Amino acid sequence: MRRSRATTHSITSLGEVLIICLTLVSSLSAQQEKRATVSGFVYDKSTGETLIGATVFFKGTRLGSMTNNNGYFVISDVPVGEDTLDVSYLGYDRFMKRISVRPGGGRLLKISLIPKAYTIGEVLVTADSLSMAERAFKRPISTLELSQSQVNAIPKFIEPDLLRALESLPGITPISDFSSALYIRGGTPDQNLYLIDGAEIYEPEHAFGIFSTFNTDAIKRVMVSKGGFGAQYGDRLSSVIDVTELDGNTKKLEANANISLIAASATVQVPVSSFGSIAGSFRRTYIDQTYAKFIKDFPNYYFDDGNLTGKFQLDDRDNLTLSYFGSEDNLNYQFDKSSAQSPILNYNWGNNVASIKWDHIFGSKLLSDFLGSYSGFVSNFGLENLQAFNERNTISNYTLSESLRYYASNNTTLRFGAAYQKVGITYNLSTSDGAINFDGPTHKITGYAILSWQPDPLWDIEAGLRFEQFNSDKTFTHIDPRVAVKYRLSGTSSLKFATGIYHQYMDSVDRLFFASIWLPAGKYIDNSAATHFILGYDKQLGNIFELEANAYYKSYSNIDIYNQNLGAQAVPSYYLPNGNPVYTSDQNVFLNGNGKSFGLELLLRKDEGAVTGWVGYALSRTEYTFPAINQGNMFIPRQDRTSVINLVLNGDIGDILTGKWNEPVRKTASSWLLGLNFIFTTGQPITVPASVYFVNTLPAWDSYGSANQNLPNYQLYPGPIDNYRLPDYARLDLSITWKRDYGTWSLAPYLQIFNLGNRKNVWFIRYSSKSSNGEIVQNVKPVYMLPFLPSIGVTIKF
Amino acid sequence: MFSLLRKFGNLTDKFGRLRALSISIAAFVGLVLSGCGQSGMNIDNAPYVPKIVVEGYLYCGESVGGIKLMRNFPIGVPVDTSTLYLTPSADDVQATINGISLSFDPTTLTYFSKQINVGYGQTYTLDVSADVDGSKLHTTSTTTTPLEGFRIINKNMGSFTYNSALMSLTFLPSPGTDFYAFSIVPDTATTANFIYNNVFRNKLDSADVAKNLNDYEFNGAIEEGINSNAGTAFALPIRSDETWFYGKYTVVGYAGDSNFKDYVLTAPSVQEPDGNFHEPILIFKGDGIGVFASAIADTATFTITR
Repeated sequence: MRRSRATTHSITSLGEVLIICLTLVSSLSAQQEKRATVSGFVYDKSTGETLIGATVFFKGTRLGSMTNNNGYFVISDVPVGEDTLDVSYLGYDRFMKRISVRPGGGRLLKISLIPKAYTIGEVLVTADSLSMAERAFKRPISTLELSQSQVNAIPKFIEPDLLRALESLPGITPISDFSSALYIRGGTPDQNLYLIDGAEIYEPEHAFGIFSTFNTDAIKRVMVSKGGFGAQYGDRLSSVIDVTELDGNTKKLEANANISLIAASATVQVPVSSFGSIAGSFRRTYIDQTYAKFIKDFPNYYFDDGNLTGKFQLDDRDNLTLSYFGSEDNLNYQFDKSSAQSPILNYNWGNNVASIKWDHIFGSKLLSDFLGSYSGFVSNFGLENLQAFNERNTISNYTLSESLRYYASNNTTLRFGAAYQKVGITYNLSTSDGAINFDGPTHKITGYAILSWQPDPLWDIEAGLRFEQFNSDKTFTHIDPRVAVKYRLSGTSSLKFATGIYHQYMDSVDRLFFASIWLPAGKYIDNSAATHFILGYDKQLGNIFELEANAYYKSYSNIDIYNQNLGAQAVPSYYLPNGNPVYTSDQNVFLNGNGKSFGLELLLRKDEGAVTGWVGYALSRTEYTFPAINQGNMFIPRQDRTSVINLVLNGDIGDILTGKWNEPVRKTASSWLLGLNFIFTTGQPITVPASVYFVNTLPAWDSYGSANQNLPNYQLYPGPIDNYRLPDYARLDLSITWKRDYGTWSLAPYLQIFNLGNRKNVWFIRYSSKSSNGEIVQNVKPVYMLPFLPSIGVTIKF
Repeated sequence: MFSLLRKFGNLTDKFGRLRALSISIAAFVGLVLSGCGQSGMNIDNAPYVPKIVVEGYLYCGESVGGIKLMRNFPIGVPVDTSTLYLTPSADDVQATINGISLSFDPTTLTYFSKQINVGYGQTYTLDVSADVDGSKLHTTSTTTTPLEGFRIINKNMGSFTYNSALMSLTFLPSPGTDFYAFSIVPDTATTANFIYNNVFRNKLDSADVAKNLNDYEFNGAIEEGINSNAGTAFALPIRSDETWFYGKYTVVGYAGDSNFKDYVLTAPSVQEPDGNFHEPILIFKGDGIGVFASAIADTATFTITR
């Protein structure tokens, strides 16, 4: 338990630390006058998109840097003279150029890399050992990055889906086939921070949780931190999923379209003059116009999502990015379409996220990122022709943030920033029996400072402090320290360690197939806290594989689980004139307790060559102790999976079958591509009834069961919580794509098969009973998850 | 291990394409087989713990009666209904309420006491011990009866056509009691008087109805959290999803204590939408489950005409 109340003293201490850091940075900076600074941007030559995470080094040295989210790099303390700059990025030709470094520097380089598949017929170089090892070393601990092409290459469940793609990584698991919500290292979905172009998103799922809202064609890159993340992130206990959308092609018009069995989507990227681009993407399902028209009782349902991003380079030092993301789900279901009086269920929900980002470079060493964003979520659920029942749930988040990065020297960088967030949460439910009117306005002020220091080429140390003050009907203040240390064991291997304290001020009530309801910490809900300890080991194996091992321990305090018996424990706040209750507080909504997660993850990746993919293994355990659950005894929550094995394989079928796994990528006019995704997990814990008993629900129902063989008064009494494990889960997905290039355009029809082996994975257990000849025969049946599910589609690019 | 991986990377160079093809196909077949089949399940080992099961209600103004003492059974095994009820002779049952012993009625298999006349706003503690599966079990539960006040005003609600918005029951609450449950059951429920042209499922045939007759027959409504101290009457609309048959209906209303509320709202809904189970709120100390509650009961009737 590391919650602490803010005091004047602690705030002063933070200020003192910042002053010390700035003084240190200034003194270090003064020693560097004889040297120069090299900075610039790295672009994709074919599209003009900036490249995030490209390594930029002076050849044969460790003097270098990695591009940030804006594609910008700074290398300080470069000796004056001529040297060769070596730039590499996964999937692109290595770039080397001799440059002249003059005292003071200040010159802004613009480097464009050529994608490997851009030149037909050429044999292209593979990544050199330096770039692969450096890439692994530069990457923060427990952090994974996937590009759009990597996400799209993983076999899909009907539609391309970012969150389902992430489930193929070790340490990230779903709860069932019917949900795309992510459980990361034992954490729950509401402990994940979802960012899209810097703006927070609260409901990243479509279609009753089955599909995520992220259109993969609009994604440039996704970064996932499974823990130990830095002080720039907060208000979540477990992880960060940071999605960067396409900037747009600044060179030429580019478009692609995709049609699957249930949806059509299109993405267009347009250059704007010589200084910017606009990228837009839109997707809509059409089952309401197809299946619902012909299949009786099929619900009238559709979802759509889209985004629009404009990126404009105002001058060499100023970039402006305007971004919008929206999603919408609409369901209209009438129980009996032939009867006008039949009850109708209406449900719609959606996100609207808009952001404006201004990046400015002061000199060459100080970068500024200003972000203003709005993120809103609305859901409406209503019934017609039955009884008054209307539910409305809204979240609105307004954020202003400023982040600064100062490259004091080649071995010292200081990052600091501050943000203000105003988050409003409302939940209204009106029925004929009463109402729930919850209104939770909150304000949050955060600030952080991170000092990155490389005392010598072997060490990389990052120390940060995060200040958070959250105000609802109660004020919470914390200062959270975060530390990450990296050490090069050799030229090909490194050791990493990270620890930190994390606080969270909002929890969600997760509802199967329905949008979650978020509630802020306050008078009745305490904030949650977690402490992470992570030890990582990275090893490059030849020029082919990259091995990553992570061991972690995570403790939780004051975490919340929805109180399933809330209906019997809700306390009215006041009454309507007709005497019906109105509930306005979140009292008793959650049960509160502590927990811990620990485990070991292994990931063997192959990102280069004709065949790519990874094998992952995770061994983990999560334990909860809640006074009001399981009679106060420890229990294993449902997201726990003892063992998880993932295998992802992508490549040309010919290359796979003939073993040409390591040969360079070649672009051919026609190719057959294979994608495989295999997952095995230990069965999930579940609570099963330990016994059955026979008590009527109401006393007057004594004759219940006399009419026929049913026994409606059959009641189940649960055994110890989550003490039983469902059978192990296994699934193999496959995709086959025929890709045909016609020069200026290409066509790629595909076949996707979800659960190729049609394995019957158990979702839960259903119980029933019948009486016969003086005996009550109980019936226990498993309910299975998704079966063999083929789908087809086509992607067109031009 | 690392050298082995390197060797794997150079597989084709050493063994040629044919071997690589064989290995690729074998690996694929292995994956397919791993993702095939039906996962085995065996829940016979779910931990069964014997319990005394109570179904007991005290009604204000009446003597104690109709209290059922039963046992629970393991999941998945056939239940011999002759062993369902705990009897003094077979199971060494001793039951008291506020220290007064309860008698056993072998005809109804229930326990009663003519000595206890249940009063309003009084507290009663049930104490039961019995032998179940060779274990001596003991449990207690306490209920506090509601204060006087609950009654249905329109005991004869009248006749209505199906799906009429006018069907409404009016009742006065008991002060301090915020939970009211209503049983809505037709006097006759057969496939002959079923409302086939209902607004929910109008394609049902008599076989479908017969299969789930109980589900259509027994319905209930709940009013909870209401302001019972204002002295005002409450209206309870009777909805179309609570009336599936033509004919006369009997509505039994209960002003229930907190035990009644906890049982009705939690015990029948221990399975969540995703199939998992959670603990209900059952107010028993020791080895008991079920319900021991108190209530004031009242009755009304209405008719749905064709």
